[in-house]
Amino acid sequence: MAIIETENLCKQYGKTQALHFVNLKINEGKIVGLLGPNGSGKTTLIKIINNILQPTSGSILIDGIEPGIKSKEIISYLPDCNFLNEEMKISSIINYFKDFFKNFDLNKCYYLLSQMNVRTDVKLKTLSKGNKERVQLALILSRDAKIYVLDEPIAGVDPINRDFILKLIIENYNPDSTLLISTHLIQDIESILDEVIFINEGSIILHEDAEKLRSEKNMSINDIFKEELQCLVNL
Amino acid sequence: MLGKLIKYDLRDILKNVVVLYVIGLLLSISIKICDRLFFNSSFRESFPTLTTVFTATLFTAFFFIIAAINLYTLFRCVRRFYRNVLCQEGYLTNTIPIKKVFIIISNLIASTIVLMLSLMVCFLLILFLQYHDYTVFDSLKNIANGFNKEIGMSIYNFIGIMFITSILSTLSSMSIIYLAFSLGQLSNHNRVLFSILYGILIYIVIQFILLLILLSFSSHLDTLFASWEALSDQVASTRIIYFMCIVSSIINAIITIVCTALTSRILERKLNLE
Amino acid sequence: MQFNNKQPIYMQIIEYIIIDIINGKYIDNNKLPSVREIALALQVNPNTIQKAYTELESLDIIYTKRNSGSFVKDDNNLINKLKKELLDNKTKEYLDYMEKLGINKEEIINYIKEM
Repeated sequence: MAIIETENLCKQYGKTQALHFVNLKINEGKIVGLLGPNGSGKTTLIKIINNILQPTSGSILIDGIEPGIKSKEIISYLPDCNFLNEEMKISSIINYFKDFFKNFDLNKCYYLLSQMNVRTDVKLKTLSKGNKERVQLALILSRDAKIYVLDEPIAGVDPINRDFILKLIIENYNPDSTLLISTHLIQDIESILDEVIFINEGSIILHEDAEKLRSEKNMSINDIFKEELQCLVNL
Repeated sequence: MLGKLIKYDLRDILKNVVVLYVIGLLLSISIKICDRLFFNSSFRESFPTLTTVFTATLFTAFFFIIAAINLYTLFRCVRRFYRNVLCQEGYLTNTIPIKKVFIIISNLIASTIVLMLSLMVCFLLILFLQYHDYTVFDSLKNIANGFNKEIGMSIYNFIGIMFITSILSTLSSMSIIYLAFSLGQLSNHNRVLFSILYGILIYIVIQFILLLILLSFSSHLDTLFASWEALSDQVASTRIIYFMCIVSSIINAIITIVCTALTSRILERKLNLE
Repeated sequence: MQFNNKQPIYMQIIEYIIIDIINGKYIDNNKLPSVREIALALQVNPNTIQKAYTELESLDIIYTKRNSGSFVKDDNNLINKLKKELLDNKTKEYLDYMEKLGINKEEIINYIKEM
């Protein structure tokens, strides 16, 4: 059952074609990697999934419905930036999530934050950069969503934090929900992926099971990706 | 849902504004203390220049604070909308499962509440400054009676209708600002600059439309005002005040509704977060 | 446990578990770590570990009890059987590789004797 389905999805910014006839079917219960270099259209696709950007043409369905209020209820989105008001206390931010997201698990959030040794009665701006990122991830994972979309969760993150984030993602994985992780750091994340989608210059090059790719080519996903890109360059 | 949105908007806008309220109050109290100390005392006679300069400084600071309270409140209202909806925080605000129009309405309500609150705080601070003893209430009563005699309208009705007119005027101004910023974010560069330009443009357009309306109704207005000429001064004044207030309120209500609808459309279909 | 991303991870997991079984790790306590435990320890997708366990089950090396976990089969010959299988596979691999280099069996035996 496809939980995210796009048909000939296109997005044009003036003269640039950010997405070029993207046809995707992402099934439930998988950890899917959206892999591509910077500027390949990953963030554009993610914004369209989250209904904060409208496509130029084509269609997209989230759990069978068009992006809107209902789809926002079932998608938990971690953007690639600081999206929280740093002047707020962490406890206030948690209450904000509780107020506006029906499926937010308050206890789980406090539990995750205590594991990270993060105090909740302080303002967000007092935290280190690494802890701020952990807090953001904890909030997103504390929602009981059908789809989790993580945009570059480990880019610009130190190795210790990166391991922590990957462990947190694995720990919170449940087979009823789908995880879409977009990144250009393929090497660090490929071992946790069920399926991989290669995207470059707005087009989908490949969408395949990760282990199947490995056994077919006897190469790491990272190397396969580099090879695919090289092929395109040589065309 | 709307109530919760308003709660968070209010909190964010009031945050540093309350500090200015407190500073205003402290200044007000300091002026009163200095007044008690220096008035009719030998100190004043011994150091006339010093007391004058000191008192003048305090008064200047006080009026500066009054201006600052109102300007800073407006700044925080605009900033709240821009930052929370159109900048990085927008990645969260625009993905909560709620219609965009509610986000705009909650910002409008929170802004109006705090702007009116700031105005009232300033009014109270000035009143507090004037307060020497209970006689100030007598002078206020006199003003009220005089108003009633001259204008023929109870001052309470007047304050009431002015209050409603101010609220609608504030709502319409804020809705224009929100629309301007929403239009500004459509471009990828110099967003704030474009927002200001759009704001000026919208203002000019509205004035132009109002002018057209005024011209087309000019003959009707002439007849109306002519009919009032015959009436007594009191009744005429009352009618004029009511007329101006009602017309302005209706116009502002329409502006608010139109701008909010347009802003909502832009946020739903043309959002352009960086 | 180290693994590389060049071969299917689930196959590498299978091999490591078999090696552990051969080394007698599961003689006293035949309970295998949970899918989640291994996934967390290695930072690997739980489905991949599950695939390895499912494969091991189909090879009749382990069995799974619902809500209890997975256990190594209580078979006296299991260790010897697995050892022989692994020895066969690895040796064949090695011999194939040496053949590519043009090294014959006698050279190999002498070389090993001298090591």
